[in-house]
Parts: sequence; structure tokens; C-alpha cells
Amino acid sequence: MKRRGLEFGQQLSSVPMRNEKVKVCPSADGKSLELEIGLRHEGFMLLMHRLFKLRDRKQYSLDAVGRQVYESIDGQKSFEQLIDEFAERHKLTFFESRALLTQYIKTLMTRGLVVVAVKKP
Amino acid sequence: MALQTRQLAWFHFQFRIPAEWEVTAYSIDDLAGRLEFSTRKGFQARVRWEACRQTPDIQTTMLTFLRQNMPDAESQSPAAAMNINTKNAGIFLMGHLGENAPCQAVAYLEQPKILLHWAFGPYDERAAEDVWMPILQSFQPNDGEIIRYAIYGMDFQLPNSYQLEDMKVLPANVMMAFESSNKAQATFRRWGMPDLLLQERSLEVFFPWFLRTQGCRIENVEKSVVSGMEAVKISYEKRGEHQMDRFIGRPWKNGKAWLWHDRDEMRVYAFEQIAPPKRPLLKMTDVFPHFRTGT
Repeated sequence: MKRRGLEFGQQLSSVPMRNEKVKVCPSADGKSLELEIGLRHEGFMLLMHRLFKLRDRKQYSLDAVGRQVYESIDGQKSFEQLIDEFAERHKLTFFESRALLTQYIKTLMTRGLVVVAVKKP
Repeated sequence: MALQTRQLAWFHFQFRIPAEWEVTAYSIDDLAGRLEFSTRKGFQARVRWEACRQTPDIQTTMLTFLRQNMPDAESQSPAAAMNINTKNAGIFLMGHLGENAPCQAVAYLEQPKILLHWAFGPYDERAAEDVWMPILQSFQPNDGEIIRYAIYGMDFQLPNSYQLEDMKVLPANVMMAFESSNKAQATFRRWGMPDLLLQERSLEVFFPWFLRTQGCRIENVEKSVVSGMEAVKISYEKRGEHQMDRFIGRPWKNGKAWLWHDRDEMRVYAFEQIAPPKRPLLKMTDVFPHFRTGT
């Protein structure tokens, strides 16, 4: 079945949350942020992992904007509130802020650092 | 309380639109295209323009739009056009079929032979009076010798010999490139988030670096001021882009570029122009009539 994207209103009311298993360590320069996450292997990759002792943790480094976005996610604020906060901080328009945050949060989701809770319509 | 508005100027028209409306779709063809406006509440309106050799029948145009956009109106006969409630708003005729049908407004511009068509949401008396009518009444033509462009936070004017060649709209990063009939080029840029853009570099360091990434060779960098804002003025050369100049790699040497930092707005603007040898460049004050420049 084809997965449908979120509707505009649903997207705004969704709540991004941090993955609690992520280990956060500020970088040496104090601007970026290092995140470490455990990897979960399944099926063939689990076999490969056992045979070749593949790594079981992965590190990501967030740039200054990525850090701001990640730190503003507290599991309480909706996506719309995050957009407004980011727009005010950088004097951006609503849609500029939305486009930037959507891209960042999408990347964080792909990496397994963030999940997004969506209310059922 | 009066609605806050801002200027919109694009091919053929100028309007005052509500300040919170943002352009979410655009076309760069001056003969046919559209701009769409949205807010966080969703779609607000769309203005469409198309070349039209003769004055069209406005009510038939409205019925065609309803047939295309409303399943109920598909089967309506041409006589149904007479049921459309209409009223005048400036040069526009605004029409709707009732509260469930989208409201629209149409005007024909005789001089450029362009049909302008606004489509709003479902008809609402209050929105019509407070928002839509003032927009339509604020219409000003934009087809003279000087064309104004006010969109995505940029506001400048150019002679009508300059045509829009390229436009890129990314979040906090807008670029519009024009070329005149004598091959002179003018490029406008607007960036947001200056701290991240400049990364602690001064304008004198950032702008030459940026122009080099665009294939320019920097001749001179000069600190300047644009309307009280910190600015930098650069002379540069670039490989010619037309005919023999391109073939033999002859550079155009008259490039002039300005970059200024609007700290209140937290935006960085740039204006670059270059032309084939012996072709005149535009004056900064002709492009930005309200700006004052100096050192």
C-alpha cells in the first residue's frame, strides 16, 4: 500500500521527540554536537555483525543549525512551535523556517536520532 | 485595525498584499504563469496571468474557471455565467457563485494584452471586504519602461530590456538573474541567517570568496555604505558568455558588485552586474531608487 504523506495541518501539530538512547556529547569547539547511537542489526546483517564483529555504535556530528534544531526538540513543543521559535531567532518567514526545519528533522529521523509523534486524524 | 500589507511587484502588476501571505509557487515566464500565496492556515490565493490577444468575455472566463475547479459546475451551461454574482474592485470584476464556490476576480490589461485572474478561497463576505477587495483595488500596472520586482523580500527595478533568465528560491537564499537585450547581466541575491553565512568572516572576505566561486576574478575590493548599512563594493572580471567572447575566453572586465548587510532585518543582499565591453552598466540608484551609497 502506498504510504500517504502528512497533511499540512497534521504536520504542524506533530511533535518531534529525541531518541532517548542517543548519547549526546558537545564537541571540542563548543559549536557542533556529537551524537552516538547504537545500531540494531537484523537478518543477514546480524549474521555479518557476529561473523565480522561489525561496529555496533555510530556517531553523527551536527553543525550549528543542526545543534539548534536538535536542542530545541524537547518532546513537548509541536512542529509549529518549533518553526515559530526558529523563525523568530533567525528572523525568517514561516515558510522559510518550515522548509529548513523539515529538512533537518527529516535527516535526524533518517539517522534514528529523532522520531515524530503524529495525532491520528 | 487596518491589515498590514507589503508590496508585491511581478510581471505586469503591482499589488499590496497582506504581510503574512507568502509566495509558495511562482513562474518566471512573463507571457503566462502564476503566483500562489499561502499562510500557516493554508492556501490563500493565486494570481495567474496569460497573454490574450483580444478582450475576453469576463463572465465566460469566470465560468470556465468554475467548470475546471468545481465538480458541480462542470455541466453548467453558458447561461449559468449570468448567475455569477459580480462586483467591481478597481479594474477587476470580482465574481462568485455562492459561499461554497471559490471567489475570483478578472481584469484585462489592454496595453500588454494580458489577462489577470485572481482565485481566492470559498466566498466569504468579510474576507472579500477586508482582504480581497483592498488587494484588487491596490493594483498598479508594471509594464512601463521600468519594471519593478518586489518578491521574496527583494525590491528593485530594472529597464524593461532586462529579462528574467533564472531564479532560485531556497529557504533563506534567493537568487534572481536578468539579462538585457545587449547581453548585460544583473544578478540579485538575498540571504538569511547571516551568522551562518558569514561564519565570522567580514564582508570584505566573504564576498570576494563568493564571487570567485561564481567564476569571477576580483580586481578591487572597497569598503562602502549602503543607506547606512555596512557594505562592500567590488570590481571584477568574468569570462564572456556570448559568441566569440565565450569561444576565445575573452573576459568582460567591467563587473561591479555590491554586498550589504541589513542587521535589523538579519539579511545579506548582493547586486552584481557585468556587460560585454563598451556596454553601459546600470547605476545603483536607478536599480534601488531609495538607496544612498557612499564610502
